[in-house]
Amino acid sequence: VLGEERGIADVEAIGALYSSVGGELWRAMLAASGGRAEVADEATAEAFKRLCLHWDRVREPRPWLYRTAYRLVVDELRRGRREGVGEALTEGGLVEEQSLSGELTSVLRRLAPDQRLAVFLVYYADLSFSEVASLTDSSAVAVRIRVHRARRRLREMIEDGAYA
Amino acid sequence: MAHMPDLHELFEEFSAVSPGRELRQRIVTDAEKVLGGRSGGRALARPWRRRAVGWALAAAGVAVVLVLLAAAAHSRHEPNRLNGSPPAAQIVIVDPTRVDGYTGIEGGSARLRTALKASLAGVGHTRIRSVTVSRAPHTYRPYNPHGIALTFDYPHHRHNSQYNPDQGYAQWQTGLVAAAARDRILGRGSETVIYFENGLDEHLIGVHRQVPQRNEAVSSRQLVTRAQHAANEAGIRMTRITILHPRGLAVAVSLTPKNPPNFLRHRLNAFIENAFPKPASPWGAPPTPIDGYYVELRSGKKILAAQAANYRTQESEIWGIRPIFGCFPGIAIDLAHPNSPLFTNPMADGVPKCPAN
Repeated sequence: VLGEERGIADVEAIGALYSSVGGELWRAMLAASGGRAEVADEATAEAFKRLCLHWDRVREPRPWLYRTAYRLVVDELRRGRREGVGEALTEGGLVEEQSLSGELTSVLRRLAPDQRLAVFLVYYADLSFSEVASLTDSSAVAVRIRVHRARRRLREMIEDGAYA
Repeated sequence: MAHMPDLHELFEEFSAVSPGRELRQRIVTDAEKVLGGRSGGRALARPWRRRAVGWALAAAGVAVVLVLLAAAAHSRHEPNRLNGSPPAAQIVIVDPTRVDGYTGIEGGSARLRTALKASLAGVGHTRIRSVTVSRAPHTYRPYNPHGIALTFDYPHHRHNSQYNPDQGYAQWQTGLVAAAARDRILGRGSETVIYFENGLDEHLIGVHRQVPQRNEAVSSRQLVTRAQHAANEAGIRMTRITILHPRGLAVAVSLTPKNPPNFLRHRLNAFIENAFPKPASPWGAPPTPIDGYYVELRSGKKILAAQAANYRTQESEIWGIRPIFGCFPGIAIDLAHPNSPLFTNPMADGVPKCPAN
């Protein structure tokens, strides 16, 4: 929209951008990371830092931030798995600040990161498939498939009795 | 038997969590470090570079002083009419040479792709995600076997699009880009006929072949001054003005009226009349002084209504949230040419009555 036109980068502009999209971005990364607040913090902060570095070349900051932060989340989760932290995280043992309930965390962690992000944006942020696609550098069809698979996975969890 | 959880309800929990204050502080601190070091970074360690930066800063300081002195001298001749008035509008002038866009272009000849790229750069920030070039379907009327279609992809609501002003700006930009690309390739002697479609109703919204032209009758600065003057006359606050440069110039303004329904009904047309240069002759006859205009009415961050015209495709459009959509007085006088593909009169479409008297 017109209001998204950007001028020269300055700290104030970054602060304003954080005020407008920081919260939703952080929540989305919290969802994508399966409720790991530390990972969401790190990814959000690092994404904004990189935005400052590449400000001149970024045309649409919001999707750019989403894509960058999401990649950072995925990298962090992979790194955690390589270092053997993943299991503990899945058990909730290493999460210092559990900001979400165990029920929601349990649901999220049974989904793949891209599925978590997709269902969060569709069911919490109320975005359409095409809007999610634009934020995640994907296609609407791919998003639809992710959401479908996430719902199927949840249904399986219910049938297996894994979800109370 | 367990039931599938309602994901809307389940995810409502996210409303209760938010990032800590320290995250904001960290981001601001990072920004200060990065942006503060942008002019030199590690290179500042080199003495000659430090001196160069010092000279540049000194020169910039002198320039600022000179500009201030010039402004003061100017203000002695022309009293500041904005004293006591709301803050001046934010002015954004798109420089196509400095826009590095991310809009994808699929298909098309090298010449057309170049034309599209230049046209997209001219509209600056945009939500247009991609432009697909294909052969025009047989369903297009009038059908031209050599015609090609430009299909724009951007976030939009397919149904009741007129009640979603959020998509108006991008939709207006699609027309600007299509017309500018067409003019660019026609200017090179190509006989290609271009159709374009912005996906709203999956039907053709424009078939045009016009004499290519450059619109250099007015400057960006003149357009800004004229719009500001019109806003002052209408007693409305203009918060933002953007000058786009798809090929000729185009103007987009944001207004924040105190009483949007009333403004829409009684003063929007007068504002448009005063703010934007009109073609010398009715629709379609070149030269057009600008490529088009877009006016949006806002309340805070929310866009309540918008009206746009594209002189190069002979199209106009209005969007508005349902409660005030009926306040559109109809089309501006300058658009009411019998040959223009006008929208239907919204008052006749069962739109709620305007709440303003």
